Amino acid sequence: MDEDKYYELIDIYKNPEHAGKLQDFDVSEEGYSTSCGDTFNVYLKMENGTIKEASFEGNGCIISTVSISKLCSEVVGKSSDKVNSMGLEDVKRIIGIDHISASRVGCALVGLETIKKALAKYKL
Amino acid sequence: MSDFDANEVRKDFPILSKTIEGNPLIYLDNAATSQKPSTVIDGIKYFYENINANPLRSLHKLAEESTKAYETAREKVARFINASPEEIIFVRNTTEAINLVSFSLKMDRGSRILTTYLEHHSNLLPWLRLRDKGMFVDIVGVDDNLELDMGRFENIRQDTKLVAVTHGSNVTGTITDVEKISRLAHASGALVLVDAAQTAPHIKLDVKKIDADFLAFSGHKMLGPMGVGVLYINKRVIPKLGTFLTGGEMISSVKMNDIKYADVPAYFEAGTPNVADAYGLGLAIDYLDKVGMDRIYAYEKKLMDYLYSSAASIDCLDIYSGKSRERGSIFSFSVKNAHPHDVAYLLNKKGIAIRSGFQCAQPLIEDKLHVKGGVARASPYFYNTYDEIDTFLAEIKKIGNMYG
Ligand SMILES: Cc1ncc(COP(=O)(O)O)c(C=O)c1O
Repeated sequence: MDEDKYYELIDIYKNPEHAGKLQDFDVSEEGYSTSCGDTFNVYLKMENGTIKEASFEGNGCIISTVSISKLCSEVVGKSSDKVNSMGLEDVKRIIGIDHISASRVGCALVGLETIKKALAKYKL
Repeated sequence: MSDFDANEVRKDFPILSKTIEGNPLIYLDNAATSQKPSTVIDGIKYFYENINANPLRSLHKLAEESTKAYETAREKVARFINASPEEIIFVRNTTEAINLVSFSLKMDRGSRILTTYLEHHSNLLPWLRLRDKGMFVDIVGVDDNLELDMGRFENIRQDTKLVAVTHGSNVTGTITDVEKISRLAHASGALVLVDAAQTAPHIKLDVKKIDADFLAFSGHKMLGPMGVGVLYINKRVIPKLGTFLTGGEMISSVKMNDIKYADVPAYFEAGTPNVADAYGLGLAIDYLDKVGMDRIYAYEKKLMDYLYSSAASIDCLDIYSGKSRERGSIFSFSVKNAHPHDVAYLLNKKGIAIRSGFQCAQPLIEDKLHVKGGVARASPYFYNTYDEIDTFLAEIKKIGNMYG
């Protein structure tokens, strides 16, 4: 990722969409990124087996915060199977970054992993 | 004292002329590991091309030379900290040195260990682990100036067997008064272990003055290769220690029902030792001696004063280190509104290498500095220049503006 791209993300970082707890949610889950040491909470509202609405609380580095924020839009309307099939490549596409260094992969994935864990919990 | 010129010594470190992302490397991650001079790099090659053999075991010429190389390195380390060679145990790093003590020090259930909030995880977890074996761990706090609460050492509980304390914090830069701590600990009958990982590279150490029972440091942070570290064990405490690793080299005779162990240091160096890297550490010490630890200390002190005073006027900075009476070459900070990983990432784009995160001291950072996602840390060494500090701070200002 080049520096300009990074600075483009700063605007999103400062004021991310879907930040804050949903008023009405079916499941929530806490996620922790060992690579940036950040903790996030994810809230999901479900409808007919798909995600109706998603939000998050917490903040971390640019990569983790921007990816979790954008994922909260991306997963709407998706089933848990669909979300479970997503991976690092999808996160890179969603945030528009084509290279993430090995030490930051955890930052990129904390959002997706937490949403997956929330879905698993919902199913139980 | 002759004037010290960082630009002169830089020529001895090949990696310092590298470029990163198209910019000259500015290496400010020395608290993690230092760079190595050519004498060390070439010396290790020389060892493998001319000396290599398993020391101590075989009788041939090369084995003899390898043994000599190993023992000469031990003598150099001993002289470097004013110890005797038989008080020097070669280990892999500080972490292993401290673990060695935690595994071999004989302690009854219910004994206490006193350590501090300033510790790196490697001088914390080996003691916390002992709680599973029925020991108790007490933790000395830090005040607003990032100094240890020295009052805690004035009345150490009688059942405290060991005081384990860092000489220099890798986060706050605090240099502790280990001489005083040793004196107080000994007065109440406790042994003292000093983690000198962050001071051995920068400050002339004298184990006789400090009067520690154990002192640990890593070769790789003081120009030596990775893979070799040092545990100093004061002769007088040997009877209080049992075996650590067992096997070859650490015995004098083995019968199925009667094992006689070798004396220290061999007793604590089971298996084929890391001779090449010990040899490399000896060369690193030669280099430090040539430059002079006093000159290194004096230069770094000025460089750090310059860094702290220049940083004081930068509004976007929060600074977490350097408040103590004496401070090491550590500058821990964050840029307002920016995560430390993002700061490290953006500095890297300019060729500047720093560390970000919890710095292996998560309790200190979360509980005492009250920072959630870790901090960024620049840690200069004697080959860093004033110009590099200027570039570093200029880039910090730019990042601050973007996030402001
Ligand atoms: C104060 C302190 N103690 C111990 C260590 C551990 O050193 P090593 O990783 O070489 O075992 C470090 C290095 O990061 C340190 O800064």
